[in-house]
Amino acid sequence: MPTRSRLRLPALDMPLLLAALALVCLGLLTVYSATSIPGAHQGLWTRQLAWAGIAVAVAWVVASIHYRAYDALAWPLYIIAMGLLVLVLLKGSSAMGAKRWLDLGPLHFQPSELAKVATVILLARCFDQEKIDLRRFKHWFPALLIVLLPFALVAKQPDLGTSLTFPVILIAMYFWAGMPVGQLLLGLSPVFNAALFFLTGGLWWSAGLVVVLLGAVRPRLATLVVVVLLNFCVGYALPHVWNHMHDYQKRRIVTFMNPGEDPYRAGYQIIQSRIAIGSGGFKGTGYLKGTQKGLAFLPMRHTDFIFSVVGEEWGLLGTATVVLLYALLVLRGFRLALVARSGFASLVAVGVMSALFYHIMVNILMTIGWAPVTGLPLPFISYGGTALVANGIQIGLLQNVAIRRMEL
Amino acid sequence: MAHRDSRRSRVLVAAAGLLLCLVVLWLRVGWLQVVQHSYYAGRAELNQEQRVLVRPVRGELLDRRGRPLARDLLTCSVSAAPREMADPAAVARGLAALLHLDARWLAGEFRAHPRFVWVARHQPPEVGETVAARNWRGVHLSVETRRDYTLGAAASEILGRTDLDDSGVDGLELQLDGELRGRPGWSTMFRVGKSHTVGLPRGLNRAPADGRSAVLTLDLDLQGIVEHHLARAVDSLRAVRGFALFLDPRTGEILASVCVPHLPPGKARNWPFTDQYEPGSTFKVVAAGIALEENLARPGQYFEAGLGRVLVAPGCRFADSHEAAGFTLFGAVQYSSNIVMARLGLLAGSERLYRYATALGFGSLTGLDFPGEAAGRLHSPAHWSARSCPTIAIGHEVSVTPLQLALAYAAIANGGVLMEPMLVREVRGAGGGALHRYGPRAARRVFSEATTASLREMLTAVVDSGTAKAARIPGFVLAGKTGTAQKFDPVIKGYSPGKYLSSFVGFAPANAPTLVGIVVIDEPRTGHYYGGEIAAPVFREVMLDLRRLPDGPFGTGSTEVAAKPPVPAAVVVPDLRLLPQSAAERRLAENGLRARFEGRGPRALAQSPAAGQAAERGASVTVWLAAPAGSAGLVQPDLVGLPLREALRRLTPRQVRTRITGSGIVVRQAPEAGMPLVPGSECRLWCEPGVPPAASPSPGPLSVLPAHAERANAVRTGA
Repeated sequence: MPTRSRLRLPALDMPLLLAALALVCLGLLTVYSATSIPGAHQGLWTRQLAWAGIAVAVAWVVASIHYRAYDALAWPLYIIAMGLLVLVLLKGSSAMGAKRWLDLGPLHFQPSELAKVATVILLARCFDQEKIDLRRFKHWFPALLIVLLPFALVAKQPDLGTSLTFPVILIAMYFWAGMPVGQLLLGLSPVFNAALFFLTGGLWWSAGLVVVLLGAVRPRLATLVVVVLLNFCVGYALPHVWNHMHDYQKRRIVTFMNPGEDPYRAGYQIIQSRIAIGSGGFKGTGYLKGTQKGLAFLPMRHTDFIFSVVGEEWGLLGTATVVLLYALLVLRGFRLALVARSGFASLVAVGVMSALFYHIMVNILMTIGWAPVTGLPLPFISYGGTALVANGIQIGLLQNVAIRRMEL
Repeated sequence: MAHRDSRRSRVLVAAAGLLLCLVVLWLRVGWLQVVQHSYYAGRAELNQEQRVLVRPVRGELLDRRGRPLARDLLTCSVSAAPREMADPAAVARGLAALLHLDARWLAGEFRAHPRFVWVARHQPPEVGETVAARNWRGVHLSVETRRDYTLGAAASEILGRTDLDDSGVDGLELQLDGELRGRPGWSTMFRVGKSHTVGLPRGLNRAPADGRSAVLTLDLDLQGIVEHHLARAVDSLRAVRGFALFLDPRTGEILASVCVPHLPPGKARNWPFTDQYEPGSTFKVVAAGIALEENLARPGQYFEAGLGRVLVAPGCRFADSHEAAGFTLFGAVQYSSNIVMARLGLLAGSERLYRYATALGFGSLTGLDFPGEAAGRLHSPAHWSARSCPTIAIGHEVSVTPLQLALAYAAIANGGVLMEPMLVREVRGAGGGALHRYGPRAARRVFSEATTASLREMLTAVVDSGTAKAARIPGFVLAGKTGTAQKFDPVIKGYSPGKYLSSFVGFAPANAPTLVGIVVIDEPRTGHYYGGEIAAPVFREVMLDLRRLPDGPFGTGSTEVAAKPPVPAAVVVPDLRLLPQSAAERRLAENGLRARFEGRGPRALAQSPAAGQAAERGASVTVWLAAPAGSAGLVQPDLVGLPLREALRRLTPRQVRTRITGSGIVVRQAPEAGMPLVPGSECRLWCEPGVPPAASPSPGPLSVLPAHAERANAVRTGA
C-alpha cells in the first residue's frame, strides 16, 4: 500500500531526480540573471524560488500517492481539468491577446498545464486494457475525442502552441499502446497534408501521399473512411482556417518562414534571440554579463526566451549542459516506461515524457529560429509558477512509477 | 497494452528518434555558438552601439571684406521630461527664472505633459550652457544649427539657400556646397534596449570636419545700397521686377547681384545670371566697337539717317525716335540711332559681327559655374537671314544675360580685355587660414586701347547729354548706355505692345572706371519705359550713395565730397535678432545707426527696419526685446508671396484680425514680417490676383520664429 514509509530514497530514479533538480537550479540562476536588471520584471526570481519549493513539495505528494489512485480518479480529474478550461474561456484574465490564466484569489494559474496531466492519465487508463487493438475504430476513436476536447478548448484561448501538446501526447501514447506505425502515419496524414499545403500551396501532393499510405497500410473500412474524410476536411478547411487566423498567428507563421522580412517587429524576437545565443560563443559572456539580456534587447528573456540567456551567458557549455540534462531526463523517462510495473504506469510515463519533450523541443527550436514563436515555456527553467508546479507533478508521476517498479 | 517484447523494440525506435532530435537541436545551437559566433557577436555589439550623425558646422559665406553673409548659428533647445524629475515644481521655478518664463505656466505644462515638454527652442548657446550647469535631472538640451543670413532675404538669390539637411539647394550655397558642407562625423552612443533610448556618448568615432568658408567678391554695403534703390524703383514704377549687377571691370569681380522682388526659396532665381533677354540699344557698342577697331568708320564720320525712317537693306526698314537727317558715329551712339547702327552692322558683315560678339562672351557661358546660369542666344551666321546683320547690330535677334553685358562693358571700361567673372576670392579652411586664393583672369583682348578710349568717350556723352541724361551727377563723370527692348511674348509670337524691358549699363568714373553696373527694370507700368528714364536713375542713386561711403569703390578721392559736410548715406541694417541689448546697441553704433528699444527682455527678438534693408546713416532702428521662448509665437509671419488662403491659415492660430485688400497672392503686409504681434491686433494684407509679388520686399525673420519653420517648410515643398 502506498504509505509514507514506503517512500525510501533508493527506490527513486536518482538520475531523473538529479537531472530535474539540476535543471531547476540552472533555471533559478538564469531567472535571477534575467530579472536582476532594472525593468518591469526586476526581482521576480524570489517568487520563482518560492514556486520551486512548492513544486518540490507537490512532486513529493504526487509521488507518494500510488498511481492506482490516479487510475481510479482519471475521469474525475479529466472532468475537473476540462471544467477549469471552460472557466478560463468564460472568465479568465488575458495576457498578450490570449485568455490563459485563471485567478483564484491570490493564485494565478494556467489550467492548460493541469489538463495535460489529466489527459495523460485518462489516456493511460483507456489504453491500459488487455485486448485493445488500436487498428479498430472503436478502440482508437474515443482516445481521439478525449484529446480533441482539451485541444479545442486550449486552442480557443487561443494558445496554439500549448494546444498542440495534446495531439503530441496522443500520438506518443498511440504508438506506445501498440498502434501499427503505418496506421499512425495514416492518422497523421492530415498533418502532413497541412504541412504540404503550406510548403507547396497545393493539395495534389497531399492527395498522392494519402493514396500511397492507404495502399501501404490497408486499414479497416471504418478507419479508411475516417482518414479520407479527415484529409478531405483538412484540404477543404485549411485556406479558410488561414483566413480566420488572428493576425498575430499569421504573422508568427510568416515570420518563422522568413524572420528577416520584418526585422523590427515580428522577426525582432527571433533575430535578437539568435544574436544572443550566437554571441555567447563557446564560453559565453559570463554569468550576469549578457548584453542582449542586460540591455533588454531580448524579449521575454525570463520566460519563453530564457534559453537564449543561457546561451548568451554560459555559451555552448551552458546549452550543452541543458540539452544533456534534458536528454538524460528523456532517456530515464523511457527507461521507466520500459520497466514500469503496469501498463497504466508505463503509459503515464510515456505521456508525461512526450509532453515534456514537446515543450523542450519547441521552445529551444523557437529560440534558434527553427520553430514559430509560441508561448511555450522551457520546462524547469522558464519563469512561471504554474509551469514549474506542473513540471513538479510530471516528475512526481515519473518517480511514482519508479518507486513502484519493483511491486509485484 | 502491447506485449513486453514489442515494447523493447518500440522503445529503441522512440529513444533513437528523440535522441536524434536532441542531437540535431544541439548541433544547431553549437553551429550558432561556435561557427557563426563571430557574426553574432558582431551583431550583438552593433545592437548596443548606435552611430549618431554629428553634423559639421557649415562654412561661412563672407563678403569681400570678411563680413559674414551666411553662417551657421548654434542654437540650443531645452526640453523637459517632468516624469524623470524628483520635484518638477522646483525645476519649473528654476527654469522659468533662468529663461525668463512664467513659472506658473511652466509648472502647468509639466503637469499636463509628464513625458515631454519643449521648454524653449532655438536659444542662444549660452542659455544652453547655463541650463546645463544647473544639472537638473529630466531637463534635456539639444544643440542645433541654423543657417543665418545677415542680409535676410536681400541677396538670397545669389547666395541661395540650404535645405533642412544643411546642404545647398540653390545659388552659391549649391555651387560651393562641396567646400561649405564639411564632412559629417559619427558619434557612437550606447543604446539601452528596444526603447531606443540613447545614453552617454561612449566615444566619438569620427569627429566632424567643419566646412570651409568662402570669401566672396560681393560687397555687403553695395549689395544693400543697390537693393534699397532698386526696390524703391520697382515699387514706384510698379514694375514686375528688377535686377541689377555690379562688378569691378578691372578684375571681373562681381560686387553685387540684386533681384527684386524676393521670391520664396525654391522659386528665387538670380536673374542677372539666369535670365536672358534681347538687350536692344545696350548692344550697340558691339557694332560701334567693330567699326572703330576694323577702321570701318571714324568717330566723326557722318551717316545719313533719313529723318528717322530708312530702308537700310531691301525689305529691312528701321526707325529712330530722333528724326534727324543724319548722325556722326559718335552721335549715333550718343542718341542711340537704330538706323546708323543698322548700317554699321551691314558694313561690318556677318562674319565680323559674329566673331566680335562671340569674343565679347555673348552666346556662351561665362565660366562662372553658377547654378542655372544662362548662355544667352547668338546663332552662327549660317543661320542668319539678310535682316540679321542690321538687326543684331541694334541688339535684337540676340539674347544676353545681364552678366554677359556687364562683362562686355567691363572690357570697354578696362581698355579692351574681357575678364572672366569672379564670385569667390578665397576659400578658407575651418580654422580660418586661406586654402586657395583666386585672382582675376583675363579671357582675351577684344578691342584695342584706342577703340575703347573712343567708346568710353561716346558712352560718357550718352550720360552727359545723350539718352541717359537722367543718370548725370554733377562733378562726377559717368558713362553708360541705355536700352529699351520690347518684350517678346511667346503666346502671340511677337513683341507685345506696351511691355518693355528698360535697362542701363554704365561705368564710373568714366576716365578710370572702377565699377560697372547694369540695371534692368522689367515692365515698368507708369507710362515711361525708356531705359534712360527708368533704369539710369537707379544707377545714379547707387553711384551717389557709393560716393558717400568712405571705403567704397570710389574711395574718398572725390573733391565734391571733401568740400561738402558729410551727407547721411545709406547703410545696411545689421541683423540684431538674438543679440543681448548691449551687443545690439554696439552693433548699431558700429554701423552709424541709433537704437530704440521697446519691451523688456534679455534679447532682441525683432527689429525694424529688417536686417539687410538700407537705412539712412544716423537713423534709429527699433528693436523689440523679449524673452525669446515665451514670446516665440508672437511674431508676424512672413506672408508676402503666399496665396491669401495660406496666409490666413498661418495667421489663424495667432489670434489677429485681418483686413484684406484685393485677392490672390499677398504682395504686402502690415505690420511687416518679424514685427511683434499682439493678439487681437489687426494685420493688413494687400493682395493681387496671380501676379508675383511686386511690392517692396519684406525680408522675413529667418530666425527663432515660427516664420522660419514655415520658410523651411516652403523650401521642402517648393512652395
